[in-house]
Amino acid sequence: MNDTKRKQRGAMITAAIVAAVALAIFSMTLILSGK
Amino acid sequence: MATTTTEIEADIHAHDDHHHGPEPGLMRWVKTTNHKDIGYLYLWFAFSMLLIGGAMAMVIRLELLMPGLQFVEPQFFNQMTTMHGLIMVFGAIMPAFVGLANIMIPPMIGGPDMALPRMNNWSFWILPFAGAMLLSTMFMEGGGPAFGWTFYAPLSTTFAPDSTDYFIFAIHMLGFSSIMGAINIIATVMNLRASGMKLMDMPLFVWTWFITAFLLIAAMPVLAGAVTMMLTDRNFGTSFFDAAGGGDPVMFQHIFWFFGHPEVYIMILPAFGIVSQIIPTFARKPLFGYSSMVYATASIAILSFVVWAHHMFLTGMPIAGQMYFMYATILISVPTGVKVFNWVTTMWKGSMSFEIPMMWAVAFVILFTIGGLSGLMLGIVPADIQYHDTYFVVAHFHYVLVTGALFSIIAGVFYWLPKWCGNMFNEKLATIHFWWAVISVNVLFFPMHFLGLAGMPRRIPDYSLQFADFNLIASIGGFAFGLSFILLAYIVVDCIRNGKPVKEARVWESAKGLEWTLPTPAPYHTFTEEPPRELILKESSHTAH
Repeated sequence: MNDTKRKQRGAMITAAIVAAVALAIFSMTLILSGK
Repeated sequence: MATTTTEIEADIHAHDDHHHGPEPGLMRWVKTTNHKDIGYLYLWFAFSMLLIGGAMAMVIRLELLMPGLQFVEPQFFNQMTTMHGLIMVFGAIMPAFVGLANIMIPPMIGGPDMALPRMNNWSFWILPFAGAMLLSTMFMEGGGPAFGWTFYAPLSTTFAPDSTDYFIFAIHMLGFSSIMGAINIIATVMNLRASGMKLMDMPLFVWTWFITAFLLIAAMPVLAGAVTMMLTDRNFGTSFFDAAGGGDPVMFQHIFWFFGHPEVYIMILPAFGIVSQIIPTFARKPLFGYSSMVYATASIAILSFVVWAHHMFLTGMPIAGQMYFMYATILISVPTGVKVFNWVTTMWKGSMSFEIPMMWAVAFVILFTIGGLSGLMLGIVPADIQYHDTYFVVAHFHYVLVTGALFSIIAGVFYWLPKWCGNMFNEKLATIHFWWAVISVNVLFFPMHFLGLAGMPRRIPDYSLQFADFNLIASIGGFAFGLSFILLAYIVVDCIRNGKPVKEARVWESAKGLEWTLPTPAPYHTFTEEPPRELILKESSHTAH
């Protein structure tokens, strides 16, 4: 794997993790507000 | 790791692609994945929204020119204050900062572009549709949102017009765009930074935006949650915020401000970054206390999540809660004070010169500090009980957001514009514009302190006679400040079309940073090869000039 591809894959993984965190915070807001 | 011939060829072709220019015609802007193109789109969109939101502010100031109802109906006045706030926050200030981030972060970190260029295009192109949808509510039956930019329930649920559902959708789209922008910035800084650049080598603008992106990721989904619950309360029979169904309207305020207070810092941390780039350039000294600036930014970001209820002292709260939120709020003045101290100390005994970006940066430091100090006053519980919902609050947040955030954006545009377009702006006109704007903005907002202390409530179209003089002064300042943006537009367009060409890569002689090693005007594609560590260290803004 060359450097460009390694960076692209790293960026995709970072983006996926951050997006998952955002989705989790959205879900938690709804869940905790419904308690 | 082994590299195949195909991969090498792909790399060569990719390298060749870097020499391609933009697609001709209008489709360049629709299809672009180039970070600078998208950044420019963000900036022009933000400026358009600034003019629309500004026009609404003119309506507000026209109505408040004299006591009594003169020009508009109270319901329309409420729509104006609501839409003005929403458009300025979500349509003008935030997109302008994202635009600056798009244009400047890749060259500052030695990267080729943003990490996720296609998503970047999507992030931008959501905005005009969301903005249009938000504006369209004003033409619907029952009018647009009139419940204030904070859209407290039950005003925004039980008692709101039908158009509120379009408002909710627009906020969802704006939030989605912001979250995608933040994801892109985090991925770019973490993965596309030149390998020779360590985190503590990054310019302050990159640092402040990196931290802001985390704030966006943590805060915007909470806003999305709040408007989703509004939607279900309005249309699907839930009772999140309806006391009659077992819900709690005060909970809306907690959720809103859990988003809303970090949002304040989302709109000011990048401003700190811009000013931290400009002041060392024109003081001809390295930035004083670089690492303390980074830690102060991170401290402010963390504290911003634990102070939200200072907006709610009058909702009824245990005394222990009031004490906690008061002290936590006042604690933020420590890292903010560190920043102001560092900017002043950077200027101290520097070889100062006052080019246009520096004038805006110095105005920022002075006027933002006024806004910060009135914020401290508002954080004190017994004082806030008096100031709450008065014009003192309006004065406070306009000093922070206009002479703070907006001034830093103008400073940044003047600082980087010659690098972007390869032309210098008309400095004489820009000087006139600076003094015009700085004087008029103070005529506009400073009397609001006195109005608030005298008890004039905010969000009202009429007022008692004793408030007439200061309102007249504020309105005159408001019209003058509004007009100054026409001159700003002329200066920028004139610079792009007819400005004196700039040849030097380093447009400002003492500017430091990788972005100033690129040719002027900045090439369509940024760093196609990684800059070496020696260059990164040489261009670091916090090492000696």
